[in-house]
Amino acid sequence: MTNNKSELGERPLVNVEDLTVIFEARGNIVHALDTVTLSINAGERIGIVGESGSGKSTLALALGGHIQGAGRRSGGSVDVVATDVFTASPEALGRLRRGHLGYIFQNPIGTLDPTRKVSRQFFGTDGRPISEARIANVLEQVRLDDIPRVLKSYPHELSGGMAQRVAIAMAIEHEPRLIIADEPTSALDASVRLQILDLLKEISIRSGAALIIVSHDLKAVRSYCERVAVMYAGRIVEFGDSKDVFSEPSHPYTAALIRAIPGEEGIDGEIRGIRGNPPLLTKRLEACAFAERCDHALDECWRLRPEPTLQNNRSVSCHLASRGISARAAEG
Amino acid sequence: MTWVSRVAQVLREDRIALISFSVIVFLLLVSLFLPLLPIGQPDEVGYGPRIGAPSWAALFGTDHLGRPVLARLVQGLQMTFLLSTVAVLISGLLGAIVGVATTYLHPFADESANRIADVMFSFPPILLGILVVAVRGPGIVTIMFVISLITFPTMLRVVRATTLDVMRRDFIVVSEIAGTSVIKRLLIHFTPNVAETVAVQMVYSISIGMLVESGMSFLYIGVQAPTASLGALLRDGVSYIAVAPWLIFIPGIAISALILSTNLLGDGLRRLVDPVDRV
Amino acid sequence: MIHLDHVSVRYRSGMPWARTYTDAAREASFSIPEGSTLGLVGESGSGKSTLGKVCLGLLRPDSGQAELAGEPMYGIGRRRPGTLAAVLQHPEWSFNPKLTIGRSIGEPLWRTGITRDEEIKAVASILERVGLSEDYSSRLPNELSGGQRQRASIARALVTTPKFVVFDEAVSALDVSIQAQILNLIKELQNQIRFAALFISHDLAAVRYLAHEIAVMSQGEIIATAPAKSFYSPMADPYVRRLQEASGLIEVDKKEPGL
Repeated sequence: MTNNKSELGERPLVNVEDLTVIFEARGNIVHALDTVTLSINAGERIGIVGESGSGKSTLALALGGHIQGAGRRSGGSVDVVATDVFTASPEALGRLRRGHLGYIFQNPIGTLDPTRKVSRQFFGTDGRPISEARIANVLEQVRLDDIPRVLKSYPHELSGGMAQRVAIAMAIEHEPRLIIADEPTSALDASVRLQILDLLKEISIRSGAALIIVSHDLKAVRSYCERVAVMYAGRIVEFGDSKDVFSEPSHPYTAALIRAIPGEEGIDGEIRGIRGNPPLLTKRLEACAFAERCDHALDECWRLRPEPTLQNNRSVSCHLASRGISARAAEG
Repeated sequence: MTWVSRVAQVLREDRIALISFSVIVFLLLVSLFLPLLPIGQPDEVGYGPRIGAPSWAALFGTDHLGRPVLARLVQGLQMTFLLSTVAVLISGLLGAIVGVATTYLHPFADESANRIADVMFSFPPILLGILVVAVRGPGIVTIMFVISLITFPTMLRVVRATTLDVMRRDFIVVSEIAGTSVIKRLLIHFTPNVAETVAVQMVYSISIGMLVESGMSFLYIGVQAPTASLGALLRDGVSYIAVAPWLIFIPGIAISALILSTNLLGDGLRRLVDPVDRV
Repeated sequence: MIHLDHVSVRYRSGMPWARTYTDAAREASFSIPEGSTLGLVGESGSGKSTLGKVCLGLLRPDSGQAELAGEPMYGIGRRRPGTLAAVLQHPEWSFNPKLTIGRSIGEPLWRTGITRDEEIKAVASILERVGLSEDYSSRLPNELSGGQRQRASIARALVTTPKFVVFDEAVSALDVSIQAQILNLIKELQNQIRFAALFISHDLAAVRYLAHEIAVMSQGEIIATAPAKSFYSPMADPYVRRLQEASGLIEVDKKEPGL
């Protein structure tokens, strides 16, 4: 769904158009992203949902221009805060990353340097260490208690939730306009998850930063994001208001995913897996990537790539849906 | 993929490993087949003039006793290869068995073996060589013994690390619950998963062994005259460096090529076992 | 079938003259009848993995009794091979990478002295029951996807028709769509084979779907045990209720003071 102008007529903060990314190593080719189109306005909270192999993490990395090494862009463009990440100069890209982007990853252990205390983990956009006063300030914003103790601690002395809060502090210290969180809570205990998501939402609202949460947890995204993009096999198959997508999914994969999640079924209810396995993505598919696992595949699903169609503020890439048949109705 | 095809793949992809492998194979073939040609005997005193220049009969010239340098080089290659390889095979196998058994079977045995390995490891190799020679006298068996002693603790360490890694894996826990006997578990689950690391470490150890042997022979406590080894050739040629520098250059280049190639081959093979890149 | 009675486990650390003790599990008690699944839920450090090890016969309790069909659990793998089985978390390490899936699945049968032919037949039969075709037998573990490996793990666990199976975070590393397949598979197989099961997980939603009864652990103690069905509505214990909210099983009670 390309919302090329928000209500204020500004250009979108993030504009991804027809992005295709291919990874190649030792003769193995993976089409990680397949003509992905997405735009995000300032201050929006978007969820990107998918299972492993869906391409969601690759998309998150692409936004910061982090496609390197075995991965290369083979088509399309990514524009973040008016910077084309693939053609920008190293200085411009560095300014973008240090000034406007904040990344949060699944495991804070990777973000935090295990050999330094927290007070020495923060660096400004000029590369020099930040004063403790400023660090304490941002640690307060992430709602850490006993900040003096945290400042003196090494990462391994902090609990998972606290370490993740420090990582979030590092990401927001320079007041980014876009915060990208890739599975920010998967490595944390359940009791801490909601707190961290609450925190991210609060930070986004307070600072006006746009927030992208990449996750496999559709329910969390429903609660914390305004819109959600569902990814499968490197494509965005559905994009729309998160509560609507969850209650009335248009794409059969979204519907099947919701049916597979434990927690929504009632007593003696059923959860259903999706038969088969995700496709191998070794070459570009000229058909719907979900066809072989779909219970409602039509003839053309095996031959034609479904293109995104817009219906009622919802973008769906599905032949069934573009005929006006919703996935739920097809169940009978 | 069998291990043969995997080794072949490493050689295809890693140019340095391929070059190293070729050098070693070349030197090995030379040491095996060149004696079939009329190059003279390594101990043939008076085959040619003393410190003679290269000629058709003696392609690398002759040494201070008139012996053909090429023939001595060939014997040197044979000796150096053989001594190191045999010694490392023995110490490697022993180190592997002891390593796996003590690490897996009992924490006390593990601790003890570890400490003993530490002590052995901290002993300076040449000093160890001198000590053993003082007890046993110099000679081929002594050299092999010293090489074994020196390479044993490293193998123990490396095997211990690999065994610890394997022990923590779920399939070992499942094997224990299934009641499989310890011997079966060691043979079927541990051995194949430790074998690759052992093989790579052996290659490294062989290069160390060749260095040790050359050093000892050079110091007169290794291979004894008239038998040739690369280190012995260095020893013999040192006095004549002014008049016949090739007497040390040739064995020197051979030793360097051999040790470096073996080491680099080890590096290449290690990448097989220890893949670093993940897409 | 399974009885844990006031089981406590303490970990010792430090030198003999300056020992420190940590209680990994304190006075844990529960029973699992045949054909029934007990879900053991808790966060990291709750002690559930420790109890899991006790139930696998790998850890002897420092006090209390742990019994399987009247016999002490510790060492039961060696004394009564084939009675106990496990499906563990990591699909990458669940199989010996050097053995074919068929040989790995057959391992629990080796102690019983059956012939190689009988072993092959038994493996083919159990593979079919878990939804994998016979040719998976000759494949190596790295040729299988995560979900397929967990199916093969389940096959290995059930090949001896055990009385008791411990599932330790068995679906945690799987994608949601595959996880659902595996949960349903476990339910179905338990109905057919009637093994008792302990399902350890940090995911209350998955446990609630699968288990008949749930025990919630926190800091080494079992703070609540109740039928799984009661977890579909808010529970009395505040910690349990917070866990339900955090797992998205019940609506967050905004009037409740912060966590």
